Amino acid sequence: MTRDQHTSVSNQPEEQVALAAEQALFQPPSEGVEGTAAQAGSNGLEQVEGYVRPEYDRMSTELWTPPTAELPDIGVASFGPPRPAAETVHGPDDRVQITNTADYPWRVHASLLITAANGDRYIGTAWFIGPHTLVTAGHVVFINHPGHPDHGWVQSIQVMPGRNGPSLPFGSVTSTNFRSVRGWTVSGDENYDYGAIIIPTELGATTGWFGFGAWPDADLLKTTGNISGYPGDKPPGTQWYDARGISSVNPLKVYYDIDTAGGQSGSAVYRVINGSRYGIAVHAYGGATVNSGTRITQPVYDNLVAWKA
Amino acid sequence: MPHSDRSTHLITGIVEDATGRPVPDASVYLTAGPEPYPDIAALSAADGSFTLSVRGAGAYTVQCRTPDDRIGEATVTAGGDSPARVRLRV
Repeated sequence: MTRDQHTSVSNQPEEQVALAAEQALFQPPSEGVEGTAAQAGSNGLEQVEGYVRPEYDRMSTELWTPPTAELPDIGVASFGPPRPAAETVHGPDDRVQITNTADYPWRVHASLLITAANGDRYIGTAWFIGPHTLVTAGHVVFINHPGHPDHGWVQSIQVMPGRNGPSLPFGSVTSTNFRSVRGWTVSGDENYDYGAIIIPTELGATTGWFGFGAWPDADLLKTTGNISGYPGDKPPGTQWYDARGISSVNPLKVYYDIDTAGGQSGSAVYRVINGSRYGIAVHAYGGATVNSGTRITQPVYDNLVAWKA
Repeated sequence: MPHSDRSTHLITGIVEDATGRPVPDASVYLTAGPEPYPDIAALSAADGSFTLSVRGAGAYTVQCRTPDDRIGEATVTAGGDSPARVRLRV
């Protein structure tokens, strides 16, 4: 049943999903072909001027021990009444603006202008995983508003990698070619809220891309999550970054107290391993005390590999 | 684990200035609600209108930011079959 929900779907007339027979469970990144590549820190964070990791979040991995008691899924806590108010920026807003967006890794993130089926417009974020493929949230490429004129695949998405306000260092490219899965497009289930944008150029070969992979729970729970994207509560088209330790996971989602705002749907939730960046989830929802994204698991990984081919 | 098999509730509205004129190209997004909600932002149309959607019924805070840095905010209760209407004044 779960596997069926990950059945890849496309807005194109015919699409074959090719799954490679044997693959390692992570895909490597690429820094692109030109420009400057910023080095990540040794602590799983990006080195960003002005960004300071909150004291409470600086827990050494050596001090972390897994809980022995059976803990409730924090996602269940978010859904059951009575419910605290859900916010996407939790406590002090410690997002910092990225201005060197023409450099790797920042240019991997793209500002999106989305035109829905009825012409309604939205903004979101996506990130390159290959020369012509960006990953984003399912609700960015397929709007689930049954009975409303904007329901269904969006008309088009203008993709602007490394955007910095009015500056488009890599120009823009418009896509009308999208991917998602039945769990989102048919069932509207937020546990399957992921998709992809296929662009008609190989611009990702210039910007570079992130790797992505699936890791065990214990590994993710000791990981620092990084998010950089294009929030609507900041000056238009500006890129903002934040990072925190991963709060919790379940088989389909990752939860984190990384500040975001509307417009960042589709952002990569990524980790740094030996200086290389790997997506671990696709940011999609604001929540009570944590935000959440669709976890990259085996079937998600398989679809992303197929979509980047 | 949480599974969504619930209806979508729409939040529609208009962004307008102090004189009541519509404001286009404002980004409109949710900042608080009773349940997780999509972290996407709408852009107000030429007539100031916008549409957002949520799954859980209840009170949501809707905020907007115009290209010239004006902020508007209001609370709206979503639920039922009819869209919840909200007016954001900047």
